[in-house]
Amino acid sequence: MRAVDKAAVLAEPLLVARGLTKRYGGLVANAGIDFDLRPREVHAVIGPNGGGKTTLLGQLMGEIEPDAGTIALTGADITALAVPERVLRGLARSYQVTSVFPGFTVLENVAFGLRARRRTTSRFWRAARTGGELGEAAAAILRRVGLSGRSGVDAAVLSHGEQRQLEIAIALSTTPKVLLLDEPLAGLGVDEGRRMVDLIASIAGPIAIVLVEHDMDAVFALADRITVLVDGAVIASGAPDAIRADPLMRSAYLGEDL
Amino acid sequence: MSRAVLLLAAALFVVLLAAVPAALLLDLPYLLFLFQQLAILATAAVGLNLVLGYAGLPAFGHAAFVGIGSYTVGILATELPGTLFTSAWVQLPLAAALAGLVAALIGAVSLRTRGVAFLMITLAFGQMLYFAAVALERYGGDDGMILVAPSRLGEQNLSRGVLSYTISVAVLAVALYVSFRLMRSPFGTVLRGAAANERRMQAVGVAVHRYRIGAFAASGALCGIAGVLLANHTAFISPATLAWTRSVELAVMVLLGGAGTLFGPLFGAAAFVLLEEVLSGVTEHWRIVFGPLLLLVVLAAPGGIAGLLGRQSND
Amino acid sequence: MTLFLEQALNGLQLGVLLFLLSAGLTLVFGIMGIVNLAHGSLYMLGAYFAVTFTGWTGSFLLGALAALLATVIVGIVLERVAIRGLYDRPHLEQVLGTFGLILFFNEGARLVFGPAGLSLAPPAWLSGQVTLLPGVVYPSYRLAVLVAGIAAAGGMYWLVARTRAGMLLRAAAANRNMAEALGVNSRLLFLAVFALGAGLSGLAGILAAPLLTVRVGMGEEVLLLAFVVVVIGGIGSIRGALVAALLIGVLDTLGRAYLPGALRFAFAGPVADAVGPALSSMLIYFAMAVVLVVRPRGLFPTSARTDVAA
Repeated sequence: MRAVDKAAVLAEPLLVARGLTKRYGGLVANAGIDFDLRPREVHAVIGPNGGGKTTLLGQLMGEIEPDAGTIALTGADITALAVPERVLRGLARSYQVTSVFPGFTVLENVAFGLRARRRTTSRFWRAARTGGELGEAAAAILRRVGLSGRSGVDAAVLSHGEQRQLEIAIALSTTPKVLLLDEPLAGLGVDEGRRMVDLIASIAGPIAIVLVEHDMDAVFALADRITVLVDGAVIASGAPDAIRADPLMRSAYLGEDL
Repeated sequence: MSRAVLLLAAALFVVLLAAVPAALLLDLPYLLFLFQQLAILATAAVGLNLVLGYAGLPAFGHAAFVGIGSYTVGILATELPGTLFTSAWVQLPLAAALAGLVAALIGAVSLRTRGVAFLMITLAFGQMLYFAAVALERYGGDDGMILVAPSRLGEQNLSRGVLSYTISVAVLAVALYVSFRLMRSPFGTVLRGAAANERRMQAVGVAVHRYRIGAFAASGALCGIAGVLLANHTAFISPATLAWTRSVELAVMVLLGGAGTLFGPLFGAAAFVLLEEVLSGVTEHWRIVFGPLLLLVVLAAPGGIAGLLGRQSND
Repeated sequence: MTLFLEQALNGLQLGVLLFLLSAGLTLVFGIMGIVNLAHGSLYMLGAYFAVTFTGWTGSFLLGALAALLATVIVGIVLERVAIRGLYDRPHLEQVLGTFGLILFFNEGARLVFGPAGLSLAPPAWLSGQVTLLPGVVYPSYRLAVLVAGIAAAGGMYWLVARTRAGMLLRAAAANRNMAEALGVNSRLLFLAVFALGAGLSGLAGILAAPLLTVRVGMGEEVLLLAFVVVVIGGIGSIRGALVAALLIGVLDTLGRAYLPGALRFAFAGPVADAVGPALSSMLIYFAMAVVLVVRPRGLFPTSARTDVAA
């Protein structure tokens, strides 16, 4: 577990959600969730399937409109902002089901986010080259996630493990302050999973991370704080050791995982 | 882009250009008439392909934008004959701007919906403009109007003949070049990327909506230009140009040739026009063969002609 | 006032016909995810069959029954031969394929029934007028269309809301995957839905035949109206189709009847004369645009496959 320095813990949270509520017909996916993320922190969200984890990420990102509640990023209210505007303010996410741009090379996949950040996507006469400064920035991101050798390959033909790495690379391409990761280990083998944990550990710190993950080894290896969601409500939140020790937790969710 | 696609595109342009001496030497004015129609429809199809192919949006109202171009010519010829406004240099940009503006407005409303709903809404907006044209009693209403003053170009005009033909082919070439540049640019890559994965494109900070409205505008403008040429070519302007079945025919050309490929619209327009010509020479009921043929193309060759010739490609 | 009542009844009658057309369309969209442009062709065929079979049998009722049966059979063959291959294809390709079917049916109709428009007299026992209120007379046949349409709509309602088959239908229209999870045989369901849609569309054509000239191209005109109804109602929603069909029918009829006059009241004669007919033709498309701006998924949104990108 990484140490979190005191100054950061005392600092204002980067991302603050209050009273987030989302209903689907009779089903309450999120029931008044309070959630925050401090600078440099990895905050894991765990809980059984259907507990409301992905709905929470969707609302934080702006893809799902909350029925009630507010979201603030670096002190500014972003509840009403659309997804792209939140991205330009420093929010990014990855998806549980791999979501890349098929038909585009790995390098081009990363270039979209870089261009959006530089606001050069609306140029409509110059060719979209991925050379120069942009190419270097893209190559640097691919090096970070371990995809350097694959930059010219169509994203659609990558292996599942490589697509998961690209998934992270695309999220990094927007130079986020806050990264929401939705089950980054989904479908990965043991070795690939271990590499993914290392990758997340290497980007954590400068980027604060909300981590939704079922793999408890990964969660306890990475998280500075853990929040448990059951039936759309927070039933516990605290340091990993406290969560691990909580008897309610053992019976309610962790069960055989420990 | 596969070699076969490039070769076919080059061959088509050679044929389009060789048609001029052939028509003059063999005294076959009809050849030029037919090929000019092909070039004009191909230009409109290139425009539609920006939205339908590259942006992957099932838009089916583009005949209306062609109609806006045609009516611009017709109305100016009726109202302001002998003035600057019957010059092609004024009419072409004016028609492009008008059609582009209307297309952007229609796009902005239609893009609030997705999938089937989007498809039906674009069809319905096209139909709305069709009725608007029918209601123009002063310009012939349902019956349409004869173009009294073709677009002037210096001492000559765009009505018929070699100059008009050459310009239509040149406009097609320019449209293809614009499509080529546009789709390789950051703007175009965003459009294609959003077609591949819209949610992710938003999630990397791109407001997809604006790009799609931009694509609508560009696509409408190209169709408007085709409309100017079409009005001069047929010397006749009527609401039939805007009928929704015309919109579907344009889409059929794009799909037949290969949606989302550079030369697909050209191939599709050529196949459509030439098939119609050949089949209608055999029987007046040619559509009874042509219709099932379209169905067969969908079922057997979903990538269209460009798909058959090689890898369906983005570049 | 009498004129208004008559126009309102005409509007309702158009609405009922539109409902018959769009109920099938909305189910086929909702359940099978198919954009079927040839839906209007079945309407046209229903009308042609009605003219033909009434001529043969000498009885409108027998002719109508035979025409209905024939349209359903055409629908079943169509599903088996052509539509089945288009499931799970992009909408663009479905449009291309079913446009081919329009060309085929139109040309086929021209070959079989001749190029000239045909007309069908309403049966003798419905050719008169009825007095609805003192001073308000209305053609019997139009009233019969209204009644028959309401009966068919009622039958649809009963089928969809009260029977087990209807329950499966609604489940499938709202969420196809869920219906498949419930063990619905989707091949059979699709065939049944398509046949039902064909029958309803054919019925609309049969009922409309004595009201207009039966000709090639009549299907394409009415198809767009049915599209507007489906979009306003919410794709996959029968209830939405009913509400929207009546709304559009009345709005279109009253708009054509009264909008030009109302404009003449507000503007100078020539302006009103020029703008009036245009505005009344475009009225329903404006209505559609307004509904979409306020409610992009229609009045009665379902979770049908509307957000599946093409």
